[in-house]
Amino acid sequence: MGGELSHAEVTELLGVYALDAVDAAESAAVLAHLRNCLQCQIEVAEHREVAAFLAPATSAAPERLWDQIAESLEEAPPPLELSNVRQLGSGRRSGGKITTFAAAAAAIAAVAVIGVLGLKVSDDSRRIDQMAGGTYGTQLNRATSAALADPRARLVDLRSSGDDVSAQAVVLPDGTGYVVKNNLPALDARHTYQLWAVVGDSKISVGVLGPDPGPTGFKAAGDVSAFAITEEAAGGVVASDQSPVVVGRLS
Amino acid sequence: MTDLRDASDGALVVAIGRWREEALAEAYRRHAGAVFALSRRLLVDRQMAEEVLQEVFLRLWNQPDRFDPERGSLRAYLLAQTHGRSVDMLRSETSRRRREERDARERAESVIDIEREVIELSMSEQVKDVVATLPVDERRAIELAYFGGHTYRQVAVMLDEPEGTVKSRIRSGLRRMRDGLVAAGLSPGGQNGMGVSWAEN
Repeated sequence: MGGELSHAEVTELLGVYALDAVDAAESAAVLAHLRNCLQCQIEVAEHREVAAFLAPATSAAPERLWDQIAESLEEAPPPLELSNVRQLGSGRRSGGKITTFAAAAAAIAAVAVIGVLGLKVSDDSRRIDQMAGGTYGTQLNRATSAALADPRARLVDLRSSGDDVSAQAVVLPDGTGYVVKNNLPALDARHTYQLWAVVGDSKISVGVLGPDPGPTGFKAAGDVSAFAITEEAAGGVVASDQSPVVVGRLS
Repeated sequence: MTDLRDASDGALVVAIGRWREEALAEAYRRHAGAVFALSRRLLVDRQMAEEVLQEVFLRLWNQPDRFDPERGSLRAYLLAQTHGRSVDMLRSETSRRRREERDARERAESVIDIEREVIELSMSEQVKDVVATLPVDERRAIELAYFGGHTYRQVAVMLDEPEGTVKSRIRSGLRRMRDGLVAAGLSPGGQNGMGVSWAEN
C-alpha cells in the first residue's frame, strides 16, 4: 500500500495500527494522516490506552538494568550541576551563517538588556515540546494560527547582527508562545538551538529547540522583555555562556 | 526522593524534562516491570527484552516531550513504545526466521491456545473479566495481533478470515473492551488518561 489514504480508509486501520499490526507502508500512510487529523489521533490514543490493560499486570524489571541505564545517562544529557556550565569554543562550528562572538555582541548591544547569556542559572530550564514533526503538528499549527490572530499577542522578531538569520515568535499574555518560523541553519546532531527568555536580569531557558527547529511551542513565565536563541551542545544547558545567534525584544 | 515517589506521572515527566535523573528512576520503578514483562512476552528472548527496556527509558529521558499527558497515561505511552519496538525486533530477519521455524512445528490452533493460556495468567482479574466478555472472534484477533506481533494480514491467514473482517474485529473489540473497562471502573483514558493510578504498580 502506498500513497495517501482517505480518512475512511485510515479509520478502518486505526485499531490494527494502534496494535502495530500493520506493515511498514500502511504504518507510514496512517502516520502521515494522523499528523493532520485530531479525531484519528484521539482514537489511536484510546486504543493504546486499552491495549495497555492487556499487558502483563505485574513483574519486576532487573535492578541491574537501571544501573546500566543510569550509567548511559551520563553521556546523553547535559550536566545537572547548575554551576557546571559547559564551555563551548567559538570555533566548533564552521561554515555556517551564525554570527561570530563579536557580531553577536553587537546584536546584544542593540538589545542591551540581554548582554551575554548565561550569567544566571534558572531552575526553569527545561525542554519543550518539539511538536511540529510529531503527531500533534496540526494542533500546534492551529494554536499558532490562533495566537497570531489574537489581538493581545505580542510579536518578537529575533535577528542576528547581520540580519541574515532570523526567527519570529508570538507570545500571548499568559506567557504561552510559539516560534512561528525561522531560517536558522541546521546543526549537526551533536548541537541544538536553545531559546531563552530575559526576565529582569535573569536569562531563563524556555526550551531546547533541536538542531533543525520547526514551529515550536513554549511557555515563558514572568515579565519577559526579550528572547534570544543560542547554539548549545545537544540536549541543551541550564545556563549558557554562548553569544546568541538571534535576539529580539517583545514588541 | 520522597517528593517524587508521591508525584504524578505527569509531574515525573516534567522533572525528567528538567534533567532530574531521580525522576527517571521513579518512572522506572513504577513502570519498568510492565515494560519488561510485555517485551519479554512478545520476544521471549530475555536479552532482547532487556534491550527494549533500556531503549524505552532512554527515549523517555532524551525525548520526554513525546509524551503528552493530554493523550493518555505514561504507562500506556511506555507500553506502546515497548510494543512497537518489540514488534520491530520480532519482525527483523533473524527473529522472523526463528519464528517461521517455530510456526512450522506448531499448528496455528495450538499456538492460539498457548497464547491465550499465558495471557490469561498474566492479566489482572478485572481485566480478565472484561476480555472474557468479548466475542471470541474479536478476542482471538486482538490476542494474535497484540501478543503474537502479527500483522492483521497474518492474523487473517491464521484465522482463515478476510483481512477486512480481521481489521474490523480488532477495532470493534478494542472499543468494546474500552466500554467494559469503563464499566468496571478502570476508565482507560478517562479524564485525559489519568483515570487510573498507575503509580500503584
